[in-house]
Amino acid sequence: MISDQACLISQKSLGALGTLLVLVAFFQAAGQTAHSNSPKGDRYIRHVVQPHQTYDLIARVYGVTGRNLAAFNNLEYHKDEVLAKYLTIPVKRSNNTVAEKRSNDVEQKVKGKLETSVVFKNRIRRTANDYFPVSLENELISPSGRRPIQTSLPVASRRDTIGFTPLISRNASTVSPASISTVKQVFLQHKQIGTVPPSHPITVRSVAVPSPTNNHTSSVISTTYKVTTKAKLSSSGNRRSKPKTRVEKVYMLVRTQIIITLSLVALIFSCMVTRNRRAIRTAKSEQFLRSMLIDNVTSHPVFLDDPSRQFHVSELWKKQLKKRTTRTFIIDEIITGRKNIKGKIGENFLKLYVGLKLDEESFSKLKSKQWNQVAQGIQELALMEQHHRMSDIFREINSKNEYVRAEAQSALVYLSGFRGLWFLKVLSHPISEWQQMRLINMLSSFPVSNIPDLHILLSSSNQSLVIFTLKLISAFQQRGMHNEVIRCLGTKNELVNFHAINCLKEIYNASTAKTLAERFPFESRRNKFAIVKVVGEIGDESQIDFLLRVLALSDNAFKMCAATALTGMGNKGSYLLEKYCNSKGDPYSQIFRHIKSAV
Amino acid sequence: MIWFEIAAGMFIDALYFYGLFMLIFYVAIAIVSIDETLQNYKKNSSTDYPLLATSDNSPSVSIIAPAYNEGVTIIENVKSLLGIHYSNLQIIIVNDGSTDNSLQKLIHAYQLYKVEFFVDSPLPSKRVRGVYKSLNAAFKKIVVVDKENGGKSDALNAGINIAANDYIVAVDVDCILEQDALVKIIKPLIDYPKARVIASGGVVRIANSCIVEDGKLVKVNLPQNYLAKVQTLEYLRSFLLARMAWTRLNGLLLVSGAFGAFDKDIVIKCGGYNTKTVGEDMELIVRMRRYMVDRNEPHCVKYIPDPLCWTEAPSTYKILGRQRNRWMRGTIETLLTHKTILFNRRFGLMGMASYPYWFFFEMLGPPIEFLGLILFLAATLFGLIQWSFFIAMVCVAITFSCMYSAFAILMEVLSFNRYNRPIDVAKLLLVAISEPFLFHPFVLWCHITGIIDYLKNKRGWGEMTRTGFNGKLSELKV
Repeated sequence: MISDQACLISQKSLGALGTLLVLVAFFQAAGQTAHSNSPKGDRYIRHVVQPHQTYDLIARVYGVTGRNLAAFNNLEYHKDEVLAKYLTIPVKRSNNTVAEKRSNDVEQKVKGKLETSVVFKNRIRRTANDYFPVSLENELISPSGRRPIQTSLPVASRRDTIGFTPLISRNASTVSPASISTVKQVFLQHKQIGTVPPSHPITVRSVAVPSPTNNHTSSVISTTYKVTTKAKLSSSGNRRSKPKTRVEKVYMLVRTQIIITLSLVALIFSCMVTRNRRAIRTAKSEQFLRSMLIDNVTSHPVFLDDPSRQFHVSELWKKQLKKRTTRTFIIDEIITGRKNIKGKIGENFLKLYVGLKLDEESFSKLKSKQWNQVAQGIQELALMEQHHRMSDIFREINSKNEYVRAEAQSALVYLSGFRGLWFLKVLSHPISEWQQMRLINMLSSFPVSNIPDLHILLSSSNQSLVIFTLKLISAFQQRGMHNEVIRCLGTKNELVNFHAINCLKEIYNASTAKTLAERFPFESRRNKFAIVKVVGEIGDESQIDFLLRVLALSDNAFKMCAATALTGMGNKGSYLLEKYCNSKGDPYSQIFRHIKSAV
Repeated sequence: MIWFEIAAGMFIDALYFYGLFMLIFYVAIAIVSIDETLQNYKKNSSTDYPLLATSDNSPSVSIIAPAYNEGVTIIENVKSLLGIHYSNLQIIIVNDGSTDNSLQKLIHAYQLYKVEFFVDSPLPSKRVRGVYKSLNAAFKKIVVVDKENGGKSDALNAGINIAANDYIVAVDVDCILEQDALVKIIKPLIDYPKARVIASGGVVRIANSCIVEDGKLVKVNLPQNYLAKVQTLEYLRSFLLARMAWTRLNGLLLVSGAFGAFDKDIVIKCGGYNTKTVGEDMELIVRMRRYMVDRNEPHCVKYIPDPLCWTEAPSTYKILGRQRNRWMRGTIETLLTHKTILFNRRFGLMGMASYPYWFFFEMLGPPIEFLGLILFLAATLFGLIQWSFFIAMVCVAITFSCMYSAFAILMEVLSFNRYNRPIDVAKLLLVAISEPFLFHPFVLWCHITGIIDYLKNKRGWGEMTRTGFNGKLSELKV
């Protein structure tokens, strides 16, 4: 019969999250492989063919032959101008790794637009690349002809471009293969793994960059960069290497999650160990403190012989009281002792509390910024009967925090009984039903005296205050308030009316039942039931006609309620009920049997 | 072709944001939930709960416990309910047409006799055959209702019709309640003056392998059965890292059917439990909230983080499958019945966050996951995706699951610490690792079958088997 669907939340969500990651990856990969025409796994340079370029010209730039280039692209070799829009260059992966990074770096740097929201631009570019499969010129591509998202251009800062100076012309036709083939691979490898590279000019091989001014007329260039600032390269070399491919990025996420998980596991066990050790330690110290407390309360000479003497705080106490946790424990123990033990010993707990200056500790909590500390401080001061702190507690009556307010209200009532209710006159917040119950419960232990003027409270605009006042009138049977309560029946608030009806049950006079019966047509269904019940309890035979009228209503619930009320009208009521039910048949006869069964 | 690419690209982006949003959402919800749990702890650390149990002014409560063929455990379970200390209490046991000897056992154990009872029926339910009360004054709180079989919702409606008090507490009769469970669940109903609290709930825990004596939980143990152990972890995640956040946001759509308190007046006004759905607990809360919003009455549903109720979790794949299938159907039925709430500003956060969350993540999550897995596997097998990438993505899902579970365990250790032995925590952590391989695929499949069954218009609860806390088996057929 378990019908809880709680686990759906975590179970499905985790699965769905995994699926989403999988789905996203799938569609990206699907897009990536949509135009696959080359062996899988390898990555190549795409060359956008410019006007008047031949296979040989292009091939020479990349260090391959024209025939191989044509064959690789499934095209027929000739010496004329290449008609294809772009060619895939058969360059080996080992070179590509270097070329890819440098290509992207250089392209970014040359564009010179890296200072603002590079991530955003990458995203835009990526999206455009996804929607419109027209690759940017001469960039690294996958065999499908589509650049994967994760290979988006790396983020570079303007600072990175400062130390680099192009040493050769951008004109591809003037570049000799020799000038672009002297790559210092060591440098780039060093840079990737984060070590300090040598400081000397380097040449990057097989780097194709678009023209910084006009992409459409850009030509393949080979660029050599001279390292001018050793420090800059060192700093960039010290940077943590970023994952290059999508798989690497995903694995980086996995590594991060594993690290977090392991940290959590370590935290779990360290918490458990710490808690267990602390529990053992605390148990010992608590035992010791408890015995100290009992010794002081029961046998300290100050408490036994001369109550007027000042309590001298021993060095042992001073040592113990240095710790905050110990102070808290002692306060809790003293409060428990005060609550549970009456008489002289109980009084001694109070003296000890003051003697150890724990009242100052409690009072200092009132200044705390944490609401729970303030509430706790108020509670402690009240339970330890610190009457002289009442004005401080009173300040919290309209605190922003409902729990501080509630504790302040309770404290005032606890400290001064009915007189404490004067806070009601200045209260601007509602009082919860729970708080009303607490206050009434506290008040019930005080002799009924000094009840504040409740007339004003009954006319308050604070609905909960009116209800609380009605409960007070009812609980402490303030019969003098009868007419005011009757007046409350005229309000538009259903809840106030409900409590007023129930209140009248406790403070009724000869006219109350009649008044309630007259109100019956104007009240809500819930209040009508309340009226019938109250009339049944406080009414006399003159109300039997009213109850018989209710019994005749079509609503079975009213029939049941009226029948129950009639049985409270003595013999006459019971007789008339039986007579009526027998004459009417079902459901009245069933109702009558129910009443007789006295369920 | 370009249009295909554009569409694919847009779809990728939509999914990307969906996944990202979900991830952020879960992290945010977990943080809010923890904060709310902490606040709740501060609020109630010095609450005088016994006052609520003993005061004459405390609200009157009727506990309603439907029972169907619970003969094995019924006596012990009722004893557990009788052990609840609350002055203004009525306990209604509804025998929902049991075919076993549940009623006879109750009559014998609690000295019951049949009374004449006029049942006014504001809520629809099957015919009540009889109402029983005890001759023994010690059991005067008990009312046993014998009725024709009509399912859990029907039994609860019958119980509400009989209930005499202002608040009703629906409880699965096989659950073991904590001693202070009732006062803790009732307090939120009367401690929020800003709005009317229409329902409240508390944390449900797994009772398998726990020691129960005389209807009371004596010792908490981690279940020995693997499935029960995983469900323990699931419950921890769900209750510690989600529910409290929805309480804070006033967007809670579900109070556990195993243990939940309701304002009887509102329940009756909005028509009681829906007997046509298998997700009656969630459906009732959503309908109650709709009712309040329609009348423009400020209201809220409260949840407390304290473990209040211990229930027996399914320990076989067969029973678990039926349960999860039913939960899925219940979720779909409820969400589609109240689809008008979706992105409806009138419903506030419920319409703009809570309901959409349930709709897009809880209801649509499993089919998306299932479809995604199939497509992804197919793409990998056909060589469209590299295996390395496939493995990497699977690793992401698994490590995220482990991380989230570890976080939930940490929260448990820091808060209630019911599983306080290091070996138990270690076991839970191992379960967290194995869950994505052994448990989750099965649950996913159950959800899919649930969707299929919903589409086939299947409405039944299915067969349930209980072991009982004393180890005996009982068969339940509805």
